[in-house]
Amino acid sequence: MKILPVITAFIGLVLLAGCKSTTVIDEYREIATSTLTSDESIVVLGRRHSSGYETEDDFISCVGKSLGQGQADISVIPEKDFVDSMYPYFETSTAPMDVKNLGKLAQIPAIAAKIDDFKLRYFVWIDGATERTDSSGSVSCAVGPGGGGCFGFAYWKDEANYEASIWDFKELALSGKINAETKGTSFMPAIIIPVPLLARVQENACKSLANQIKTFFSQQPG
Amino acid sequence: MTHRLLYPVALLLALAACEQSVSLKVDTEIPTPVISRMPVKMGVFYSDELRNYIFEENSEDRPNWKIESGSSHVALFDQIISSMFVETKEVAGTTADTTLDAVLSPSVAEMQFALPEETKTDFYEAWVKYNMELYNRDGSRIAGWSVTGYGKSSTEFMKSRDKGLNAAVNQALRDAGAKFALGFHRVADVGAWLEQFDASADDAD
Repeated sequence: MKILPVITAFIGLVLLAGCKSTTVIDEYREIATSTLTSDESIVVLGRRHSSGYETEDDFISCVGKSLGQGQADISVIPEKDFVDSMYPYFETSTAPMDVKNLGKLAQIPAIAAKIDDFKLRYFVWIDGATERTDSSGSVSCAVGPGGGGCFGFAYWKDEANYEASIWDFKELALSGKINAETKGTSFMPAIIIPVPLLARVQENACKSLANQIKTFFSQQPG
Repeated sequence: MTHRLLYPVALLLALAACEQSVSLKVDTEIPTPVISRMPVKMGVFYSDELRNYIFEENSEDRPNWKIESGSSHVALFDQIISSMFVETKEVAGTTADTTLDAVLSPSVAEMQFALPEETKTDFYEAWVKYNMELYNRDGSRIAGWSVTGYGKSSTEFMKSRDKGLNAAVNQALRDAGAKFALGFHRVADVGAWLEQFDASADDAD
């Protein structure tokens, strides 16, 4: 009976001390604010050319959804819809790596017409990934005729590092870059039942990056 | 009593999960390309080897691997080639009929796969290499070149090996299709052969 308060206190301490994440944002602006009229849209695309990592699909979709929410309701074209409709020009191996090459692409009438159909003004290219930098501990589970349970303690540290490059299609220029770095530690104490206390590093990096991208645009009526 | 019956079932399920064999029929989705059509009447010949292409391996690390991708290769080239030329037609051999300007014949030279546990990464990976042959209407060879494609798919929670490999192959085929479509006129012999059509188009203007 005496073990219950100890467990409760232990879990409470872990909750207080752990499962936090911190985000650092760095921003570089080529121009003070970028205008975006209400009938213009943006597209958020992931860079996936590196062999060692890949910007996650769900991160790109999270940033896109976050940009489309809240007061600054920005029209965001879903990544897959855009890449499919521009095939074969925005595949991993064929996508423009800089604004100059986007300019060359825009000279192709079919591409220019598609971009015009989308009313696309800005490209947001996101490059980065969330990685597990450390993990330790273990949780063992056992099942017997009388029932089952788990015991142990595990933790892991995640680090998310993403850079967003914002290209203005109208001006064919780089508007700016935003870097978001989020670190966090998750815990999983297990006494009969495992209780995961997650730091949600990727989710926090997504929200922070999306909020910062929103500040880039000053919205104007169309 | 019910619990005791569940143990062998759980053991069998655990053993099945450890099975290393792969039996997969690739399902590919290739979008319609946004490219200008060349003023060429192109035939396309798919050999039986391409139509029925199967990657098979039976080694200690990869016992009973069987990945069928023939229909996906045909679907890829059907989609790409029909968007590249003003007129396309499937033919039964590399000798074109008089209604066509040339015949394209793709073949799979090689396919490779890598699993996350093999590369110690978080990705399923796939490579495809095609040998492309272009024949004149008299059956003489105009050009031959290779097109490679690479695709990877990340390991995600509850993502099966089949699903991971299928996504990687799909990416590799998309990549190869994109490189073929954008690189066709850049192949030296093909570029030289295409000049006659540019000239005839200019004459028509």
